[in-house]
Amino acid sequence: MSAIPLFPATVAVGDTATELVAAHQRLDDAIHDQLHVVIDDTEAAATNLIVRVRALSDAATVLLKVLGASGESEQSMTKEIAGSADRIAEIGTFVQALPTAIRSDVEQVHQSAIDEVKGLGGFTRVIKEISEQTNMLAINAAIVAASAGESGRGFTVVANEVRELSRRSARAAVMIEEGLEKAQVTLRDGIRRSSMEKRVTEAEGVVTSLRALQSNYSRMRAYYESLISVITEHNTALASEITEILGHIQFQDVVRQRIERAMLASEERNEILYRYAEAVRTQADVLGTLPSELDDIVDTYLAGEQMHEAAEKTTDSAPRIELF
Amino acid sequence: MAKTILVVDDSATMVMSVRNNLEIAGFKVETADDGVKALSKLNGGLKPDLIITDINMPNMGGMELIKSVRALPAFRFTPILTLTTESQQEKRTEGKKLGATGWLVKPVGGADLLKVVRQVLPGS
Repeated sequence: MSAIPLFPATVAVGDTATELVAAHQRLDDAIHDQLHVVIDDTEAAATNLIVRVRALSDAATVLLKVLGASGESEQSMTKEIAGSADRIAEIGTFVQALPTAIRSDVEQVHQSAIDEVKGLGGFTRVIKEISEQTNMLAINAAIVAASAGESGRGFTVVANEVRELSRRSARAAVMIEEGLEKAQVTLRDGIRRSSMEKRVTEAEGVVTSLRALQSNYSRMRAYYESLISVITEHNTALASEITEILGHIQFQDVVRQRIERAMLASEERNEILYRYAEAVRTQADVLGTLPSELDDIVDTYLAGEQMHEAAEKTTDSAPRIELF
Repeated sequence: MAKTILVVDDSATMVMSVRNNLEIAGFKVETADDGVKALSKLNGGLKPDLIITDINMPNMGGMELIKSVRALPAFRFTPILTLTTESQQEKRTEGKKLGATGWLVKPVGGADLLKVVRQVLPGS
């Protein structure tokens, strides 16, 4: 391309052009300084973010380890809880059967006692019979003694004593009989109403408590299973998100490179402008190449930017991940 | 035993991001911020199972590092992945010729990175 004189080149104009470029560069330098601060700040923020994300990941790992250690594993823990619930159920069944067993046992003992007492009633009949026979014997003895006259008087005394003994035996038999009847009544009514019924009520109360305990255990088991399941699920999701966050943080490096590319382009532009100002001052014929040199800078800059755009739009010919 | 991965990048953000991603997944990670320091670690006895390197770095870039690593007998077959903003086909071809195992363009999702690492490190 041939030179296109825009205005008469002089040393003064050249100096002015140099000053303009220098002023321009001062502005660029100020902007670049700020951009470096921006890069440093974003890098510090990114690394800080990584540290916190890692802490989050470590905390989640610790939580899972603690849960794992508390029961060795989800399965062994829930199996243990299930075993306890089964044992409680077994105890409940046993205690539930207790009132019937107690009632049966007590009634059996009770009936045996009544039978025994009834059996004792036979002895009172024997005593009564003996008493009646003794009485008859005493009466006969008294008759015989009376017919014996004076010689039977002593025997009469003995007969009277025997009759008295007979009467006392009969009274004793009646008293024993009455006592036995009272004992039967007491056995029939007393035991049934008091202690046995009380024990049965207590046993039923224990059964109710055990059933509540079993229910609580089952609920606790379900809750524990649900808890571990939810935490495991959340931890997996958390790990996945953390992994992706770590991937997205890489954008900071991409942004840094794009900013650095822009700064490099402006530095190269200033270099050309300096050469242009110097050419004006020395009246060198370089003006004509200026536009194409600036175009080159623009092309290089845009090519670099297109590289990032291409990287963000994965294609079959240039995939984001390629194994050779 | 955990596999060791050498991560080479001049960006602190990249190094921390990749390092934490790999460590959380159970890998052991060593780092260097340019090719010269990476080579120095390899010559100093470090035996990584995989090298992940950036391409544009001061002192020694990724291409020269790949070439130098392949010249070391102990690392002729060690997988090397590039992790770079460069996505042009010419660069990929050059990297492949020098001995790179794969080409990853930044940013790479954490899960994707782990998937590729496990592909080139069977049994990890």
